[in-house]
Amino acid sequence: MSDAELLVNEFLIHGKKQGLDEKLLHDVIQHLLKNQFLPAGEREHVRIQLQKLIKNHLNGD
Amino acid sequence: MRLTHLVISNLGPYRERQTIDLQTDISATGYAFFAENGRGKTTIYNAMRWCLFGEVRDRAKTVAGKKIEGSIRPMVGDGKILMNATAYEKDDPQEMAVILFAEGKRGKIMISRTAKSSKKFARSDDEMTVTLNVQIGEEKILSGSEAQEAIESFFPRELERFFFIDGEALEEYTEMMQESSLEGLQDEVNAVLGIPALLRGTEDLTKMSQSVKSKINKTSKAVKSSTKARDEVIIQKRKLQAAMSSVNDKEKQLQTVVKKLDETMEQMNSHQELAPLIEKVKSLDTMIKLKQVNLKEAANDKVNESRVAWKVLLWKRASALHEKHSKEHELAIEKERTIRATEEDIIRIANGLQEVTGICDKCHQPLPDIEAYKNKLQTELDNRKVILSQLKSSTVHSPKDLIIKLGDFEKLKPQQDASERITKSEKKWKRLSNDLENLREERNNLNSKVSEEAKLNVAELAESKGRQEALISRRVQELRVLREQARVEELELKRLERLSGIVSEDKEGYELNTTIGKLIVAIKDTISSYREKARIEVEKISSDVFVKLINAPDVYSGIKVDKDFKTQIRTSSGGLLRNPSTGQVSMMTISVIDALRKVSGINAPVFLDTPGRSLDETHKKELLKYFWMNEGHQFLIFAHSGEFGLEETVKEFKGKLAKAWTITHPGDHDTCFVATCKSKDVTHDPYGKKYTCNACKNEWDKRSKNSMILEVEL
Repeated sequence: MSDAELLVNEFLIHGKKQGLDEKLLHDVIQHLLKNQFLPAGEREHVRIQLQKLIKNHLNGD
Repeated sequence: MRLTHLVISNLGPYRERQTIDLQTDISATGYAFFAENGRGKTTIYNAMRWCLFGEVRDRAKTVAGKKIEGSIRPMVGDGKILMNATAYEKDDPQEMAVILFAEGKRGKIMISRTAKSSKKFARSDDEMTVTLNVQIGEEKILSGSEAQEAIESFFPRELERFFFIDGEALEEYTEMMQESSLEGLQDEVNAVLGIPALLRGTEDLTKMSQSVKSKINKTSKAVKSSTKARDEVIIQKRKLQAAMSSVNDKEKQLQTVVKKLDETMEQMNSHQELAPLIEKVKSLDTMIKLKQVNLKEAANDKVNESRVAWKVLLWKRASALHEKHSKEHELAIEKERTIRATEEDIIRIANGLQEVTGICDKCHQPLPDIEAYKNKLQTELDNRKVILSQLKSSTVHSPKDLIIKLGDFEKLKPQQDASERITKSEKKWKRLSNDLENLREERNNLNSKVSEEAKLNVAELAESKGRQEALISRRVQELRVLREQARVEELELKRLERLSGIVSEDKEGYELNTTIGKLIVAIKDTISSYREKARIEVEKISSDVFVKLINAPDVYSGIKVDKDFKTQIRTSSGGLLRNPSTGQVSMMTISVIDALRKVSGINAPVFLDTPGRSLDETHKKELLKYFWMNEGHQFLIFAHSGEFGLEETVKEFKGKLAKAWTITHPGDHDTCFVATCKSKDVTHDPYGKKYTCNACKNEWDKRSKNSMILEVEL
């Protein structure tokens, strides 16, 4: 059940239902998977990068 | 992941280094540790937990459906500690360590956690330094938080309870799976799903959303302020115009007055030749006023001084008489003095005459002419009496009368300088009077040269000039105030113009927040669907396991797992079992734990402490039959002899049991315990404390409580 591929696919399906772009969804889930074991107190840079990632997508970069 | 070696040093009853070799040639998954109570079964179980997670928590409790976490057991200190008691009390430095060797998909794994005292005889965990090192395959050795992160990547902490199963705590698991549980297995199920990325992602996105919303709100407020400011700018401009208009008006007023002053000054210049005369007249007027005051004072002085003038005049005549009486007074005093002297002489002579004896007082001889001497004295006495009579008969006033008369004269006598002062005041008054007259004359002369009209004109001009100058001063002050007001209004206008400059909403913020919101929904939906898939799988696997463990397929069909992962036993008739026995509940719990572990996809050894605690004989055997298979993950049990007998278990599970150990104290042995010896030829000292194997010379202390892990020959 702990299947990253399945998890990504599920996320893409539900994200698309929200009208979000597949590339954005893919980038977001990869970023989260990459940093999934960082504890809550050390995730400030994860959030900054995530916001930058979303902004870049919205700006069409 | 298969565990190959476990090294324990100075933990619990294990003094010095103890190595457990789990490598075996056969593919069996069963591993068993047999021991009496207090020998260190649970220490091995805890050593693994400490090595992986850096802490050992006591069992959690569930009270009224709410899980209360157990406390963390300290490494050193008072009470129950992780470190070996002898090492804690005697070693310097105090040190304990667990090293775990395993093999996994990524190659060989080495995890080493060491705790060493940072000061002599540490008495609390704060005084211990813990070092963690992890090496996976040929990769570099990781340490600290990187090392812990690496462990969590293949063995999430949340899943600890599915791999380290405490038989004594099965009730706790069961409680969490009951309908009454409030929290259930939420954290564990999320961990089983392997979705920390999504869970932490939700938290990250929620925090980001809060931050973005905060910025949007600020911008929104700024925009509102901007709109309001634009309206205010118009009002402010009007205010500024009004202020500037006031300034202009005031400047005009000032200019008018200045112009008038200039005209006045010009007019005054046209009367320039008269000005000195007028000024002189003014000056004379002032001087006359001053002189008048002085003259008045002089007149007063003159009157005061004249009050004693009669005395001066009278004294001119009376002074001679006063002089005469003074002389008479002196004569009268002299006369009295002469009378007294004469009277004294008369008495003295008369007494001498009576006392004549005819004998000399000095030589005491008779005097030659005594009668002649007596006649001489008598004559002298008579003369004195004549003189006295003459003195007394003269007509001179007595001194007493004369003193009274002189006193009367003294009353008429003026002060010594009275006459001079009268003269002086008279002169002063006359001088001032003359001066005043002169000044008046001079003023009259000047007045005759300047017309009254001209004087009036000049006076009016001077007055106008003073008035105009005062007005200018006031106008300048007013103008200053108005200009300051205008400056303030201008500054306010600039401020409002700046505020009104923000004209657009934070569109980017709105878009960002909307996207974040959608991502959060997508993640929550993913977790939800993922959980549902997991629930179905857990229900299927746990049902299969339960049916095998309970070994009564005709009665039970499996386990129902609801959306919150609460569980109940299903009967073959399709219903749910009411009031299950403790054994049935325990088997259900173990089934669900196993299912969750399988669903987690993590291939790691399972440690089951006191496995038969809540199970009857049949269920215990079924349990081992199910978990000890020919392949799959390692399954280690830590059993008390009351749960599983060593020989019986070894015999019954031959082929499925890969390795087994006994954990004993030296004192538990009367025969040699060295695996290659086992001799019964043992001697002990007279006090029965020290044993020696006569075959291999192995020695041991019966009193020692340091546990030994001895591998059982299968």
